[in-house]
Amino acid sequence: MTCDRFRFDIALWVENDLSGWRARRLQRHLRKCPHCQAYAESFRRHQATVKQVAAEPIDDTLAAGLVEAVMARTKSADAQKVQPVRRPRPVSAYRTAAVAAGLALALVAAWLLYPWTLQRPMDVPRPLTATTGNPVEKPGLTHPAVPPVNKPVMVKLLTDDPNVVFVMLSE
Amino acid sequence: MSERITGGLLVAMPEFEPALPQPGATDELIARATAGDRPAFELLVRRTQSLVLRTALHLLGNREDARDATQDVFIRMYNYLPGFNPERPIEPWLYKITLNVCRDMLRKRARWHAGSAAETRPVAVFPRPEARERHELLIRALDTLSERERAAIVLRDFEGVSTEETAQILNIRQVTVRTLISRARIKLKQACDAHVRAEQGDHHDV
Repeated sequence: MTCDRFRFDIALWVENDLSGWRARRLQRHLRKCPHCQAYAESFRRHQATVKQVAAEPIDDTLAAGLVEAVMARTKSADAQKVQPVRRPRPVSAYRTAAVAAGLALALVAAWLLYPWTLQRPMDVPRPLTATTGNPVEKPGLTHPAVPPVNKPVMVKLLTDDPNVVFVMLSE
Repeated sequence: MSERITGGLLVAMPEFEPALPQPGATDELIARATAGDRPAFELLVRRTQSLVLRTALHLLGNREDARDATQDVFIRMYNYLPGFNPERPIEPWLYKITLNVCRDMLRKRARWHAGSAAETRPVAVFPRPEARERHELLIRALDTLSERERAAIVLRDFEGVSTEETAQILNIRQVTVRTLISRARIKLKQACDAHVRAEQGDHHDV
């Protein structure tokens, strides 16, 4: 039915929500279509009912004590501390797992990086090498004492539990 | 009512009746309430409670939920008032908070899409019996709409907010608002017509 496409336009037109050219097209159609005229008239009556109901005063009992309840909820606490009533959120298993994984990663990273920090190349003077690859010492320059780096280092991490001790060994 | 003659069709157009309190002293109240003046805040709540109650009622469909939502709206308003610009009108802001609170309540109860007429408790908010009956019929019909359609139609038709303001409050384009309200109006009318036909059928059966 060709009139079907005008149903949405009529729904807007009865409240002046239709744009210019669509309103003009609808008005041209309404002049020659009694079916749509009746539909528009029925729609107008329906909208009038909606407006009438919306304009009715609300029962006083609905609003009774509402302001007092709001003021009571805001009275005792500071403005920033008043919160709507919410249920406490349970601790998420995913959150616990993420924290545990983060701690494990931090431990592994510390274990991997610890020996590297003992052998910081900046502490060791770089030998001046010739094209032959043999180190050439400059006169007047002496190497500082280089700590032995091949000695294994043991790191103990103590926890609150005396039975649990993390031991890390590095070369 | 004003009358308009359009193409030979006499159309009585309902005049726009602003549901919002008149501006003026409200600005001053907002400024005072923002500064921590509790009596000013109380007066602000008294002035705007009918706007919030009515909107919550049409969005939620029953009076107990509407009362709870209204309290939550004003608690949020109290919390966020220090960040509110008193030079701006408060009504769009209140509508936004109301829509958010009602949406949260409905989603929490998984009622927005799954809601049915049977789940809606009696509304009974109007003193006059004939208005009560019409209103309950409309509330049941509103329950058949989607979340966005319901929000748009409540603001535009029940609250008398303009299409432009509705678009701003819902943070969507005006053309989208028009699409939503045209669909919602048709669905609402169909639901009401079906109810009237069913009642007439019942009367004939008797």
